[in-house]
Amino acid sequence: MLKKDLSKGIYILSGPNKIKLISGEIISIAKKFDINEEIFIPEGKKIPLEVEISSVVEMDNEIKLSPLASRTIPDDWDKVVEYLVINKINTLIIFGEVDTGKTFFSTYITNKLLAKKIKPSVLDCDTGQSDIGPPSTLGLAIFKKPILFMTEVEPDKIYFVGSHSPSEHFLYYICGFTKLLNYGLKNSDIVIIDTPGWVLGDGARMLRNSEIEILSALETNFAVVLLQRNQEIEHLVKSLPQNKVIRLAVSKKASPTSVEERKKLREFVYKKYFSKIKKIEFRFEDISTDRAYFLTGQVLENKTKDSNILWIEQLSGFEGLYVISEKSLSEKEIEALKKVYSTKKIKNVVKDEFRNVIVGLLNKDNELICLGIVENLDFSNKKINIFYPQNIDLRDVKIIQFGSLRLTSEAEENGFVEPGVL
Amino acid sequence: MTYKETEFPQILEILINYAKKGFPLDEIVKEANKLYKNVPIYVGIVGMCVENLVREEEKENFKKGDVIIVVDKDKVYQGTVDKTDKNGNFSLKNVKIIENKKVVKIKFRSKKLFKIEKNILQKLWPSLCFKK
Repeated sequence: MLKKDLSKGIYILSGPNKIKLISGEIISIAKKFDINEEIFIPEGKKIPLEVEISSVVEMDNEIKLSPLASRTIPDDWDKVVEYLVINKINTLIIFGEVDTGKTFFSTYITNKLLAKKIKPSVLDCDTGQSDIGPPSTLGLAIFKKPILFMTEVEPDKIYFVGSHSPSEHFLYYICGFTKLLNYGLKNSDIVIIDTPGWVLGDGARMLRNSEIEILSALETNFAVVLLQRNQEIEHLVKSLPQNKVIRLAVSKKASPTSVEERKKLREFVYKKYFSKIKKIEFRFEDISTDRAYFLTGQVLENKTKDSNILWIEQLSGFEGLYVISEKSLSEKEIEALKKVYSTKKIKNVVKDEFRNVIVGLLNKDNELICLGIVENLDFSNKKINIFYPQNIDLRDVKIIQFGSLRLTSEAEENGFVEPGVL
Repeated sequence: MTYKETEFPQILEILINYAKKGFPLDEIVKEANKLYKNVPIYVGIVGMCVENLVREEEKENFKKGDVIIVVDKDKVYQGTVDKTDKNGNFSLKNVKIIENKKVVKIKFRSKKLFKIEKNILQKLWPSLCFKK
């Protein structure tokens, strides 16, 4: 690493890079660097450095360091912390469009609260660009020491939503939101909620509004932060008492991330999560399924002698007969099944529909242990094979919760499962 | 999650099935939309109605004003019954004809031309296109 003298002032440092404070005093995102503490800045990320007194640092790449004329963090961000303390706020929810620096703001506030000996937790609701926990989950972490990147912390609890977007997954998103919020309220002094940047249109209004309703229902003493460039998200707080709303300007350094970059970042996190995988097989009789029709009916014997048919279950009432087959059932096969089993409806699933589906592996108490990827279903031995991160103990897995995404075993995004199919 | 939060996709399936039978879809889609506007919070019921929207009917039962579909060998007619006679014959107005032909040569004069973009997801949202 190269040694460099930094005079008092403001700088911005881009990743990938490493920096170590040798002497002096540097603060970044309200975190004071310790002497000899080595800090890694990942690719695509950057941090502001507030050099309080002339300091000496070591860094990997000084080209990625540039001076700034003024502080990037708006001054009114600091007033928020005072407001939270004075008003004994226990829940702070942050709304803003994409790329308005909601995570950066959450990090800043977290570090500031820690400096005041307040124990904060962060509920990361951005299922597409998750920092706490893998994508397609909500994550909650309770903080004990200041951090620069939310990705540095291990989540205390995660909840599998099943998709990168809350769209078409509203109910599970809201269940997870409530569950993790409740946990955060019980185990920390204040929960900071970092929400997705979906703030316009029916779905977004409904979700953001539901989040606020839950904050009321749980009788939290909450406040809402609007991070906005103009007045683009005022519609979200029209019906709220205005003393609960804090309006803040977006940091000047908040920069846009393209859809492609977002996908790459997501895949990077998945690849990290599934970097070392192992395979496990579960016997059908040892597990329950959730969010799928599979294994929720009464298993029936194949009376048709049709080798295309691999699995039959009788579902309740109008849901009819659930049939898994090697390839799609023909009209003739469907008619034969209707006759043999005296049913009006056949729900046919082709075996390969299960391949590469991302799943949540849960214990008997419905707590998520980890994510997995379905390799295949073995109907002759009545087993399901799943890839999972190898360092995780799966002895307590009792429930397989199906998601709506497909990932290859190399953790590359591989499409979707049509809701209602499995 | 693998359950549908809405039953809307079911309506698409029903429309596809009508299209497979060769029916013109414009009247069916208009009726489906009307049903939805009437009972927008019961999408499942809208789907059930759309599924039963077109039924096979004896010609004797047609009366003036009915919108009907006639499936012939290589043509499908859709129109409004204008006149009927005692022998069960009828005439239609506002008729649309769909004709199936293997090859058609089009002479270009000043026709308006449109193309169905089959690759639209790749063009508009490439990050949602995946290797098969």
